[in-house]
Amino acid sequence: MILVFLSSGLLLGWFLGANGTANIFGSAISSKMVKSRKAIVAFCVFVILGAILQGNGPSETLIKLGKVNAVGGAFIIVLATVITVLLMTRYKLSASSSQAIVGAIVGWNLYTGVSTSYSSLIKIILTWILCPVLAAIFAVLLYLLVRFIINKSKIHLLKLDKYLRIGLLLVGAFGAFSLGANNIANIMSVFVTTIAPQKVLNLGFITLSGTQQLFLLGGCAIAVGAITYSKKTIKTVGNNILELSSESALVVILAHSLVLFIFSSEQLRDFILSLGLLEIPLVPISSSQAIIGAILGVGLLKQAREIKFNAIGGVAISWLTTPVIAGILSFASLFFINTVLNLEVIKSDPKTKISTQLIDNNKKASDTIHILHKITENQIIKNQLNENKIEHDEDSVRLTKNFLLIFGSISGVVLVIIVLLYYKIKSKEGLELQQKITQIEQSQKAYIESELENTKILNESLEAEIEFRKRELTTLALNMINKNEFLANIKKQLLEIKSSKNIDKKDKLLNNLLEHINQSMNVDKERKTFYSNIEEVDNDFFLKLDQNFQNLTHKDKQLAALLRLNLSSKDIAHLQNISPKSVEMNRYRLRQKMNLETGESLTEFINKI
Amino acid sequence: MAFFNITKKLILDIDEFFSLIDNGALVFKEGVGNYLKGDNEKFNDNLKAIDDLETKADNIRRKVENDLYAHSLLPQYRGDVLRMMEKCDDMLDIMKENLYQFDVEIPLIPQKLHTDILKLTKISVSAIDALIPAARAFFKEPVAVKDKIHRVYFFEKEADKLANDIKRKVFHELQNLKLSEKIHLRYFTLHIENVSDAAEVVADILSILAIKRIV
Repeated sequence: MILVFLSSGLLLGWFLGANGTANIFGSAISSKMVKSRKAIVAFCVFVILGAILQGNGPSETLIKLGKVNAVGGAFIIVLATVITVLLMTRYKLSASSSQAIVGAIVGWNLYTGVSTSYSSLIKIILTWILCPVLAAIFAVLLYLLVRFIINKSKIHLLKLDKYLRIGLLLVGAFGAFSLGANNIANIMSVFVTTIAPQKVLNLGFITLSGTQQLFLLGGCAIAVGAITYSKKTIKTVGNNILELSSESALVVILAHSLVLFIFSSEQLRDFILSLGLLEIPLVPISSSQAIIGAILGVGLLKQAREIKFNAIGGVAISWLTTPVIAGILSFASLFFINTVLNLEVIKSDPKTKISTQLIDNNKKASDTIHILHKITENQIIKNQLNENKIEHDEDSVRLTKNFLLIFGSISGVVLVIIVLLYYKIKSKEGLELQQKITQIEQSQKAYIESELENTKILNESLEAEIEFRKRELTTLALNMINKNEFLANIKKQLLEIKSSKNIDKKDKLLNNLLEHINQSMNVDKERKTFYSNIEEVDNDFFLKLDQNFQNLTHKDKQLAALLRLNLSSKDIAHLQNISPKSVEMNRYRLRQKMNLETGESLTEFINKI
Repeated sequence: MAFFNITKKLILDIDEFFSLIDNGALVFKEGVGNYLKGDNEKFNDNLKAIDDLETKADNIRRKVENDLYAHSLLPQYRGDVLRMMEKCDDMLDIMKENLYQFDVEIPLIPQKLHTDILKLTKISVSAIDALIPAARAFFKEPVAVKDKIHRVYFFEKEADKLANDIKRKVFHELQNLKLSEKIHLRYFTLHIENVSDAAEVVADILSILAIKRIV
């Protein structure tokens, strides 16, 4: 049953592991400076060590913020955190589990009526603001230091590469340790007062308290997240804000790790306090927030123009919204689980019970007649206690109401802003999409139109060509007719020559005749060209003839083609060098072969084929 | 420990590569001098020497390339470094090719031009002499690269000027030469000038690489 309640924490740990590895080792792995297997092993070992050895500080701060004493409540708080973080990640918004858990705890406080420790809350919020700033300052200083060392030492590029590899691995391990120390509070702090085992676990080389055992479990969940999902996260996240060189990556991770370490180390806090300086708050902070701060610091120092400020702006908005969403979710889930499922989300405070017993005892004491003075005193004390209690109750109710009002108003405003922003982005995206679709449609339309135009032009040119060929054929046919007529004329002339007795006239007539014969010498050639042209132009017609009338001879087909050109029998006779009677006979045979009935026009039939 | 040894070996290999280029430049200068003097024996020695140097440089370049990729070293600069080394190797190739052209084509160089050709060779080789420290500096002290490569540009310009002077002299003053001989001389001037041009190409790569490392 405990594991069921812890499942939300373990899920959050898994998520943290997958993202934490990307934050710490992402640049090193994607630039192939550190092998992913090495990085993941180092991350797992050091994140667990960090959680066990130094996770207590930030955890106590969260416990102060909300004294969650029922396991159902703790489960819901972490579940609300997980859902918030997953939801925001789903919509590609950067989410911090540190901020989500704080929002969820405040939600629990509001639901249960437990007063929120405002000093803790203010401390936490101030730390959130301080975190990226501090990371940026550290990054700038460290970058200057690294550059100074590299320039002064005149180290060979290959050696530098080697040292950077080792450095990235070591700094990454430190980062993992700090992440484990700082962020374990997000996963397990709410379970500390409810689930943590009472027995001390002795592993031989180390002794673990109940809280540490819980942190070990959380650390293992982070490690599982790193092992199972970090490679995918690294591929997806990449260098979103600025492309980092290996030196810059080293500086960024170191700055991030230092910030996380500062806000989680009890020893460091005590040491600084012993020096008489300020007390460092031990607060869970966002790892991404620290990384982004550090990257910005390096980017600004390098005056990099490629910093994607839009991405940073988006991240900042999501940071503001994360605790609000987590708070609302937590409140709503607690209401549901408490009223619908009747699960206990808060246990009555044992201190209250003790005070009630004391009051009862006092009442009993007041009943004793022996010590009147004490009775009077007790009555006075009782009255004062009652008065104080009423006043305190009234104050806390007033504070809670005010806070609820303020929180509700802020949440409402933020939600409205989110919704507006969301719809603005969506409508912008929709508009852009619509524009793109319109552009695509227009280009497609233009393409189709141009295709149509091309086809039209092609058709026109083909028609023109066909027309030209037809004209050519007709001309050729006419020429042939003329020539045949001409031959008949020559025959007539020859007869005239034969009958003529005048030699001069004969010579003249013979010369004329020779000229005419020379002209008609190409008749056969032209005829062949003519028929081949007919076949070429009316290729389809000849194919159809073959398909429909398989008994047609070549001459029949030629006759049909000539009829298709609307030539008369006389002209065809001239072309084929046969008598018109023979043409008529051929036409008759063709009609029979085509099974035409009496009265049906052969020319019309052929033209319809 | 193998990781440390690879780094050390690679550093030595890269150093040796640049030494070979440097030696190649010296051999080239000497070879041209010997050709002009007509000392065939020494010229043939120079030919053999530059051939050996070129082969060694090629082998080292391939080995460095192989090691850098096989051990995933210098992921951010690998491509640029190898390109730079390839272009350095090209310089050696050009010098070797030039000497072989002297050997094969036996250009007729009038006595009047001997000094100029020698001077041109010296200036072209000086561009390489200035380039090698810049290339070495890139690995250890990128800030110093800029201070060193400006000398390469200077020598390249000087070589251009001198080559133009020689060509002008060949076509305008040496009237007793045939056109074919003039054209032949023009080509040899161009070949020698190409050595400094190749050095300029490497200098350009180095200047960008240095900026990349400094920023």
